[in-house]
Amino acid sequence: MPRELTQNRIQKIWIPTKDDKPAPRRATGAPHFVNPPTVIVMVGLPARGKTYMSKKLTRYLNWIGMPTKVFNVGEYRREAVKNYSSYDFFKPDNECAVKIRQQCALAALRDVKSYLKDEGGQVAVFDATNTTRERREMILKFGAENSFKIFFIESVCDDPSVIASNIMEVKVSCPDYKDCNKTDAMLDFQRRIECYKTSYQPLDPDQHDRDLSFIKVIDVGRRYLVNRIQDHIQSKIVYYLMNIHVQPRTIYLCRHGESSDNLEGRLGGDAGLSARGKQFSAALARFVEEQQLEDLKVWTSQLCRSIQTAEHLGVPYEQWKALNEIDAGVCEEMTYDEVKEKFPDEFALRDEDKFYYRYPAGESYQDLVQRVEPVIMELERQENVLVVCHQAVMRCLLAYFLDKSADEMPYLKCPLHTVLKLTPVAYGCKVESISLNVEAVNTHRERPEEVKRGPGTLIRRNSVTPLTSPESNIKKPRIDDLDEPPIQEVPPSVASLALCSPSHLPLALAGQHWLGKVCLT
Amino acid sequence: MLDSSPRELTQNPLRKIWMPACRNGHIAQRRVCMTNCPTLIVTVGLPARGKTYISKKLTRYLNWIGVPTKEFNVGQYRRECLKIYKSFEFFRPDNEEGLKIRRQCALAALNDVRQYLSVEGGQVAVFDATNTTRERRSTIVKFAEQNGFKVFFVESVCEDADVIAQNIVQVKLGSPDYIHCNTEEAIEDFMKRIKCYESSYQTLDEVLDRDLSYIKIMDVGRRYLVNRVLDHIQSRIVYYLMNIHITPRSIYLCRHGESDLNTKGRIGGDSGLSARGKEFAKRLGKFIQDQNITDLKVWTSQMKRTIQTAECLEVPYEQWKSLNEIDAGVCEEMMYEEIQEHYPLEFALRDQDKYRYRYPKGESYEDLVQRLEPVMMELERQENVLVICHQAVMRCFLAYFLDKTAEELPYLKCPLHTVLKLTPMAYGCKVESVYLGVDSVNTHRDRPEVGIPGRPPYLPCFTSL
Repeated sequence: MPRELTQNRIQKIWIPTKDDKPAPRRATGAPHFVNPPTVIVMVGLPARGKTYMSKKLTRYLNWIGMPTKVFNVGEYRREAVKNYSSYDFFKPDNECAVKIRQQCALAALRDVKSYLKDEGGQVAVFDATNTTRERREMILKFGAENSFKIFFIESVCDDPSVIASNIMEVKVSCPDYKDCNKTDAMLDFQRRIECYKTSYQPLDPDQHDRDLSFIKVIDVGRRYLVNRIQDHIQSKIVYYLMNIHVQPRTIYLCRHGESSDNLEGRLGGDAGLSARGKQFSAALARFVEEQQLEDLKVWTSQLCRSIQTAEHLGVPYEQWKALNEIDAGVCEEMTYDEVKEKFPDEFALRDEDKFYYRYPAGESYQDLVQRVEPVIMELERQENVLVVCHQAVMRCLLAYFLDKSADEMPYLKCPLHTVLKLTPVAYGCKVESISLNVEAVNTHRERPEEVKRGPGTLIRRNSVTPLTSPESNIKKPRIDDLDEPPIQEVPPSVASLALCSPSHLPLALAGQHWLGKVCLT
Repeated sequence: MLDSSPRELTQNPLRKIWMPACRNGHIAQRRVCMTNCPTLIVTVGLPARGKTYISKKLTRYLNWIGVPTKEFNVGQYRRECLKIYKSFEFFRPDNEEGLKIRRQCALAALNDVRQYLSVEGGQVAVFDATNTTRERRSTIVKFAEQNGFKVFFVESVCEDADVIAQNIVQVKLGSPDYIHCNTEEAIEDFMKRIKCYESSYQTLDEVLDRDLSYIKIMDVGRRYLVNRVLDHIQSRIVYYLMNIHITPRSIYLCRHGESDLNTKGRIGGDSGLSARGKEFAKRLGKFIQDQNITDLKVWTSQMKRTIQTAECLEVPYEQWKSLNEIDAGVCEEMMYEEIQEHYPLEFALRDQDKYRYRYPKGESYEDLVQRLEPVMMELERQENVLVICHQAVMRCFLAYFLDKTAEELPYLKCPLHTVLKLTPMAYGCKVESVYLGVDSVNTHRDRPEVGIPGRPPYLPCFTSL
């Protein structure tokens, strides 16, 4: 007998009711991609962009709902060896150091295992040089023992200017060099690199490594060698890596100017700009001109207010239907009060779980992430872009750039008449918020205080649920006794990761300015 | 730039796109502009390495996603020129007469490429030939530079004898070149033909060709080498090529069982199955079992009627929101007669250009294709899949697999209670239509005859290539 279906009240997903618990949600918009977990293994000399790629990839995968975490062996080493003295530590004949480094790698792998097996992780990024076959063999064995898929990402680059630039951007200010001046740091780091060079065995697609799955990124993306992609997630990772670049550029996000619907407090619709909205658009045009950018692409949605705003700029623009505001379904063009009156249950449900909540015959933020993903991919390819969109859409995009979780996303502040200027910097994104000083209504609704969020009634595995890239959970040195399980705080489980608001701490890079929290809380 | 006042916007009544009132000026199409200058894709490789397979598939994909693309197969130009193929001798490297003709054919094809890209509004041309020498490729690059085309090479390298033998059997034996030969003769001749190319074959080289944009596909996708991807369209092409495979498999397409709204003649909505719909679902379950398919994936939309259908199969299934039926906006749950009464203009517009017509506050077929593209990409990656979807969605899929145009797409016949089994074969797709014997309403509306002179008679969609 076929099972009866009921529609889950928040997500509006039809699920069989026979079971006591809700059926595991294999797909809310996206299929169940990963069966065995995947360990992504970085390979390459220092200063080749491994950590940059690790973090960026992790941010992307978490945003599309794939629980992913980076395990940076360098951090484990910094925990174990409190004070970095010099590159001597990395000399291949420094037996004591070699032992410590080996133990750090093992400790990191143990945490990988724990993350993937016990904590609901699906992808772990093992960020280290992994430059010898011996080390990679060990990891492959580890993968086989635990039924993890292994995918290598090797970065090969011999352009001295790129390497010098990397060192200046992220190494010179790293904790290892907090007591050094820039020149000394640069010199020491270059000697550090030399220590690795003699024993470096690049991945060999023709012979030794022909059965491994990997991508070799050559010269910062000029060339790629891709070997034996096994599954969907590896295919997406390859596509992503092939679309990102390191050219300096700026992304501007803003909403359309205030619309007549905004003035009336109505959701959705396709209204035109109010008088103030037009003023904003003119101000935006002046702002754009002042920025003096070469080659700015302007993208809008296909809704009138966004296009009208762009029209004021007097430059060519592209219309994307994918950038349209979230579809409020039966609630379109209602005010919040009308919604509360006509659909009191829906109103309450939305406050209960704003990310997953789907309007009847409409969309949820979760749907929005899926819809907007091709825009993100193209944004990665582009250089200077101004995106004139809408509140919910802008929140989605912002969550991607600033590594915000599903829980935070629907409450990010994206006021009218304010431009967010995002500049990639080091391992993250600098954000500047620029108000163009044209009054507008406030369309932001704070997270209601009294709402109790139920624990994990919604299963988030394999669904499109942006997660913040988890912090590293190293709390104690572990090299003392590898046989004992490491004593550490149990990191929050995946389900609750999405529910709590993680304080987004950067991975311990002193001197970096994380403006991610500016203006958004 | 800033002194001109902003232009007034009007909404195009058919596509519901807001455009400046005076002219289309700088509005690009509904999606990001793929290419500024046209792109010339150039295949490279020995015979029987899958170049034509890739060319045709890529062309079909690009056209489906809305990038006007056409392939130019030099072998066909040669067949036009020569009329009768005698033997592999024609391809011998020392056959001066042969070389001359082949070169002329290549130039004739390039001429047509120029016509297509510069005059006829094409955006991508696929130049399908062996192009195995650096000299030939250099000629092409020069040609492209002169005409402002970007060039992207797609090389297929394969030394697996089994794969090559299979290719020959699948597509060469049936070629016009060998209609008068028996199998053995044909194979023998073709192998000698390949030999003619081998000595002069200069594969794309890491150093010598480092400034070219290309993808080198090795061993039918085991490995790829990608060099200098320049723009969005090349990136999409690379992604597509890396996701397709040639492992034999079948794709089953069907609609949900008849729904309650179907029986009332209403479109859209999210109703459950009627009694007959449930009967169909049961029979579908049995049909699937009888097919004895290894490792079948089942996909549904997130609408109740497809899920209910899948539930009867008693196998795990995946729900994709992207597979939901076309959104009829303000016309949801209306009958066609009601639409005609309440929205006569909309009703007429839809018949005028059913592919591009967007329902007010809803979608068009064109929007649907864009929405379905990620599903299609995943379908390409998969093996045996049953997709339980909806009429408009199924038409989009069918158009992709059977290479139907945007004009034909909205009129493809996808009746309820009928399963289409698609099996890739040679350069195309075999289609078997299986009606599961449960009555249902007919939800199909033919292309209206009135006022459209000169349209070819409508053909059913059960054609195989």
